[in-house]
Amino acid sequence: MGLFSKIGFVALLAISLASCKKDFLQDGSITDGAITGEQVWKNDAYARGVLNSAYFHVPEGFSIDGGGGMLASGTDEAVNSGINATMSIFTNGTWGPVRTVDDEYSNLYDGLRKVNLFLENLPNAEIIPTDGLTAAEDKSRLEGQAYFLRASLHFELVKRYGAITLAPRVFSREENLNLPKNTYKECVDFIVADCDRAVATNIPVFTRETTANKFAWRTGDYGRATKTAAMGVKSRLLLYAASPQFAAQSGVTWQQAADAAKAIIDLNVHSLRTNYANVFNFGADSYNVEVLFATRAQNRNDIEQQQAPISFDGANGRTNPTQEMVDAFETANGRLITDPANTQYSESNPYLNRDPRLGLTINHNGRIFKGRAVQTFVGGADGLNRNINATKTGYYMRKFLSEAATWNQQSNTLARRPWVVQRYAEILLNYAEALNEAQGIAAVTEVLRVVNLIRARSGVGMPALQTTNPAGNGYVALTQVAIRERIHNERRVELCFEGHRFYDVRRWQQGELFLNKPVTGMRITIDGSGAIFYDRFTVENRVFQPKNNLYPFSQNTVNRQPALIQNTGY
Amino acid sequence: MPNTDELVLANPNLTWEKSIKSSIGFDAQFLKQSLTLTADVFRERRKNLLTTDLAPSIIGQALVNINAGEAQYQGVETNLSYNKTINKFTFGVHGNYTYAKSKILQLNEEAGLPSYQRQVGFPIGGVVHGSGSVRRFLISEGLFQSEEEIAAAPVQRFSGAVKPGDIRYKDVNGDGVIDNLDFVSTDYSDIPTSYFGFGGSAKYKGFDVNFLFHGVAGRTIQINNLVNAGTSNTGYINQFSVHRWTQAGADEALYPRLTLTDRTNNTQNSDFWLRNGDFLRLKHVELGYSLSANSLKKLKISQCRFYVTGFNLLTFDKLNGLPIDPEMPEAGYNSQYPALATFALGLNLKF
Repeated sequence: MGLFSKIGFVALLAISLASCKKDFLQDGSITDGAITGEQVWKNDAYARGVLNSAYFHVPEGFSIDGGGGMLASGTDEAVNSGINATMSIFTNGTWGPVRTVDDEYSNLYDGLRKVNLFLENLPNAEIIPTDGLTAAEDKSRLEGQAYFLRASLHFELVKRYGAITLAPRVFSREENLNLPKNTYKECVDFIVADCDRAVATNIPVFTRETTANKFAWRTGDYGRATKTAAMGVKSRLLLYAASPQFAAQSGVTWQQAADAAKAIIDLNVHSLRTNYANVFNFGADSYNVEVLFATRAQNRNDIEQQQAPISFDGANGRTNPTQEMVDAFETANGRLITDPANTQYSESNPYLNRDPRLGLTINHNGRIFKGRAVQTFVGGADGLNRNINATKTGYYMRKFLSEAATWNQQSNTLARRPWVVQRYAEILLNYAEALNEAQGIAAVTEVLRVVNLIRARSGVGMPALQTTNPAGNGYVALTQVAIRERIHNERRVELCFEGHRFYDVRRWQQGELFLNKPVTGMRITIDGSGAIFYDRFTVENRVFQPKNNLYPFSQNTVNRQPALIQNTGY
Repeated sequence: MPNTDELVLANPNLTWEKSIKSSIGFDAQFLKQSLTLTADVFRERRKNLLTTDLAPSIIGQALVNINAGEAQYQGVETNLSYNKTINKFTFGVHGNYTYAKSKILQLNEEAGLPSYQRQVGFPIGGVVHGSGSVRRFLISEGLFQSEEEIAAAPVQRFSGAVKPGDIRYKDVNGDGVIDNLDFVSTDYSDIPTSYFGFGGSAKYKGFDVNFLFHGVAGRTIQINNLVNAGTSNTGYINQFSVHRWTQAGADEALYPRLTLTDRTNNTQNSDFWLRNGDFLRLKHVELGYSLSANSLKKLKISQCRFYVTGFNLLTFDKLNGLPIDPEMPEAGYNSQYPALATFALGLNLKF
C-alpha cells in the first residue's frame, strides 16, 4: 500500500471471478464485494488478475464500430455495406476531432494504468509461483508480460495518433494531468525499451515452446506474451518509424528496422502455416506456429454473421473488397495483371488463373462458400442491390470466415477465433521491405528469398520472384524501385484485411495516390444465353487529405487536456 | 482468466452539498375569511454540487464526481382562493401560480471549450432526448432548396453528402464548416419556468359542477425522436413522413427529406426540432345532480347523485396543429402510452 498512500488516493479493487476459482484462490479469501489495494497485492489471484485484465485492452479488428466494420473499409481494400456505417468517416472527408471513428484513446490509457499499477506493485506482491518456478522466476515472467503489454498499448496509440503523452507510471488525480505530448522519438524509444525489457525477462520465447524450457506456457496460458511477440511489436514499430512519414522525426533507419525483423527470423522458432485459412481459425489450429500474438480466442460466429454473403442465413455482408484489391492479386504466372507482358489475365474471365490467395480471402462470384456458389451477379442471391446489406462492390470478404460456423439457427455452431495481431508472414515482409530500402539491389538475393518463402507457402504456391529471366514467371526488374513495388504489393495481398494497409499507405506517404480517388467494383451480368459480362464501375468517391495521415484527437480529449496539441490540420 | 479491476477512483475530498435557503411568505384571509391569499418568495443557493470530474483520460480510470458546481434557484409561489355562498348558490374559485428559475453559477468545464458552449449562467437541465438531456443545439436556418444553395453555404460535416431538403445550419464560429463546434449552449429546457392551475366549483339546488385547469409555461420540447423514428427495415416511415421535403412538395414541407442512409445531418440536435411546450389543459371537469332528500325517503335511500366526469377534455397549446400531446410529446408514438381523454358516468347511492 506504500505507493497508494503516498500519492493519496484510495483504490478500491473489485474482483470478477471466472470459472477456475480453485486454481487461483489459494488463501481462500474470496469476496464478492470491493477490496482494498492492499488486499489485492497480498493475494496471488487478485494480483495476477490485474495483469489479466490489461490484456483485454488490446483492440481487435473484427468490428471496430460494433457492427462488423473493419479498418479495411477505411482504405482502398474494401467498402462497408452498412448504410449508416461509421467506417465511411475515414474516407468521406468528414473525419475530424468532432467526428471520430475507432477512438481507442481512453481504452488504451485504461489498459496502461492497469499495466503500470501491476508493474509498480509486483515487487511486493505475494505471488505464489506456478509451473515449478521460484517466486522470483515467476515474477520475472509476469513482469515481462506487463512490459509487452505496455509496449503494445503505447504502439496502438502511436500508430493512430503519432506522438502521444507517454504513460510510464500510474497517474494520480492529484497531479497536473494536462501533460503535453512526448516527441515521436521519445515514444519510439520508450516502446523499444519496453520490448527489450520484456525480452530480458523469463517469458517464453514463443507460444508453442515445449516445456523443455521451464518457463514455457502451459496450454491454458497460450495467448500470453512471449519474446517474439515483444520483438514483433518492435519490428513493426521500427518499420513504421523508418518509413518516409516518420523517418525525420524518429531518426530510425531502415537497417534498424531490418535488424529488428531479422532477430525474430534468426530465432528460427516461427514458420508459415501450411494451411493459409487455418492461421486465423484456432478451432483447427490454435496458437499455431505462425502467430506471434493474438487477442483472446473466443468461440464466436459474429464474424460470419457480419461478413458472410447476404444469402447465407441473413448475414450482413459488411466488408466488400474493392476491384482495386482484387486487381492486386497476381495471375498464376506471378505477374501483375497490369503487366503488359502478362497474357494469362482475361478481363472476360477475371478470376481464372489467379493467385490462390484471391479465392482464399475474397468471396467472388462463383466461389464456393459453405458448399454452394456465391452469386454476386446482378439478380443473384448475393448480388448488387439485392437488399440493403448487399455488396456494394460485387465482392465479399472471405478471410477469417469459418465454413463450420453457423448463425441465425436454433442452435448455432461457433468457431474459436482470436484477432491475430501479428504473424510471421508480416515479419518476413517487414524484413524484406526494410532490407531492400536499406541496401537496395545489393541485398536482392536475400530480399527475394524471404518474399518467396511467403509465395511458396503450401496452398499458395506462387512462382518465385526472379530478376534474371524477363520472359519467365515472377519476373521483376533488378531495381530497388521495382522490387519495392513488388514487396508493397505482396504485403497488400498477403496481409489484406488484417489492418495493415491503412497504416502502410500512410507511412509510405501514398495516401493521396491510393486513398484520394474513387473505389470501384465489378458489376456482373448474365444474359439469356448464360454468357457472363464483367463491367467495372465506380462505387463511391473517396477523400484523403494530408491531415488524415494521423488520427485526430477527439475534441473531448483536447478539451480536457489542452496541452495535448491537436494533430496538424485538424 | 480471472480479472481484477479497479473501481472508480475515490475522491477523498468529497463532501456534502451545502444549501442556503431563504424565503419570505405570508398567509392572509380577507372578507370574513372568504378570500385566502398565500405567497412565498424563495431563493436557494447550493454549493458543492456534484459534477463530473473532467480529468484528462490519460489517467486511465473512471473517476467519481467532484464538488465543483454551484447553482441558484429562485422564484415565487402563490395561492388564491375565494369561496362564497349566496342563498342557495355556493361557489368557489381557486388558483395557484409558481415561478421558479435556476441558474448555474459555477461548473467545472473542459478547459478548451469555446465560450458559446459553456454552461455557466444557464438554467439547470435541458431538453430530454433519448436517455439524456440536451443543452447545446445547432441553430437551423431552414431547409436547403437547391444544390446551388448548398454549394454557396458552409460545408456541413454531419453526413457524407448534403442534398436539397436537408436542414441548413448556422456557422456559429465562422470557420466555414458546420460541425460539433457549431452547437451553442441555450436555455431551452423541458422544466417549465411557470406552473399554474385554476379551478372552481359551484352548487345550486341539486346541481353541482367543478373543474380544474392545469398549465405550464416556459417549457421546450423536441420532436426529433418522433419525426425521425423508425428503423432502416421500415425505411424510417412514420406518421410524420407525409410532411417530409420532396422536390415537388418543397413549399409545403415541414421536415427534411426522408433518407434511408447517411441520415446524420438531419438527426442532429438543433432548434429545428424544438417546439414550444407550453400548454393549458382542462384536467378534470365534473357535473352532478343530487336528488332531493325528500324524494329519497320513501326509497330508504339517504343520498342519490348522478354525475358525469371528464378528464383531459380540452388542451390549448402553441404547437400549430402538430398532432402530439404537449404534456408528453411521445405519448402515443414509439412505445409510449398516450394520455387518455376519459368520460365517466356515475351514480352514488347511500343507504
